[in-house]
Amino acid sequence: MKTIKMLLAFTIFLGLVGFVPNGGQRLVSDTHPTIDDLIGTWELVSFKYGEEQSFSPRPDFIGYRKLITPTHFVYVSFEEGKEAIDYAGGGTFTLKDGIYTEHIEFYYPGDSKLLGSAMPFQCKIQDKRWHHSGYIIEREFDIDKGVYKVVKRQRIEEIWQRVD
Amino acid sequence: MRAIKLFGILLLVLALLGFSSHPVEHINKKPRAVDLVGTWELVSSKIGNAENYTLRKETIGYKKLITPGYFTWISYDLESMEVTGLGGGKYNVGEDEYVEHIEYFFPAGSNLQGVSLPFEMRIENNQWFHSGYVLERELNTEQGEYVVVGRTYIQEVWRKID
Repeated sequence: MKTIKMLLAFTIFLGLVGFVPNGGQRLVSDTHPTIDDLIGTWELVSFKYGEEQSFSPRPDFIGYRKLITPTHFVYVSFEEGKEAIDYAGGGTFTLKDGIYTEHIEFYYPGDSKLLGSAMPFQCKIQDKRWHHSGYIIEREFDIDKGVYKVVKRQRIEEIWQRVD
Repeated sequence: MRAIKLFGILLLVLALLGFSSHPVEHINKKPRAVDLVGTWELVSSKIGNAENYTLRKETIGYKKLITPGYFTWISYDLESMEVTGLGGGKYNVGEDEYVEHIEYFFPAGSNLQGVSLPFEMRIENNQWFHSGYVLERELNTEQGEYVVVGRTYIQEVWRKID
C-alpha cells in the first residue's frame, strides 16, 4: 500500500515537473518544437517543390545550410568547393504552435521578387530532422492599382538535418 | 515518517532532474562557443590604416549568426534588403582565438574558399572585440596555386542582440 502511494506521489510529481517548463501550458513539447530545438545549423537533405511527386536528394555539389540563433535565421545555398553563393536570405523568425514564421530582412540575388514580410511554414522535428513545409509566395508591385499582387505561389516541402 | 520518506524521494527526483538538464560536460568542452552562440550586430570598425573606429552606417545592416559549429555574416542594404556581402563556414575557438574556415564568400574574388582565418577575440559586456587579418588571394598561373596578394588588418566591435 505504501509503495502504491509513493508511486502515485511520484507520478503526480513528474506530471507537475512536466508542466513547469512549458510555462503552465499543456504538455505539447512532444509535437511542437521549441526555439531551443531549432538553434543550430541545418543542412538540406531532400526537397519536394511544386507538383513534384516525390522527394529529391540535395545534389552533392550544392551546399544548402540554414543557421538558427535564438532570434535570427539565415539560409545560404552555395557550390561546394567554390566561393560562389547561389542564393541566400535571412532575417528574424518567430515560432508558435508548430508554425515557424520567417520575417525576411535581406536576400540574394537582389532582383528576387518581393517575398512578403512574413512567411509561415509548418515545422516538425523528428529524429533530429526538421520537416519544413508551406508555400513560397512571390509578389510584384502593380503600378496601376498601387498594390502588391501575388505572381507565383509554390508549395515546398524540405527535410533538414542538424549538423552541429 | 511516511511524509519524510516522500520528501526524500522528491529531493532525489529533483537532484536527478537537475543533473540531466545541465549538460555540464558539454559546457566544459566548449566554453567559448557557448558564449558566442547567437546573433551579433556590428557596432563599429577600424579597417587598415584608419586611425579611429567608424560607426556602422545607419543604412547598412551587418549581422553575424553563430551556432555551436558554424558562422555566417551578412551585410545588407536596410532599404532595398539586398545582400552586399556574405561569408560563412565552420569555426572553432581556442584560447582568445576564433578561427573561421571559409566555405562560401560573396562577392567572389578574394578566393578565400577553403582558407582558415584566425582572429583574436575578447568578449566584454556583451560586446565581441574581433581583430585580425583578412586576406586576398590570387591564382598564380605559373604555379597553379593561390598566393596571398593582399592583407588588411581589421578591428571590429560587435554587440549581441539576442
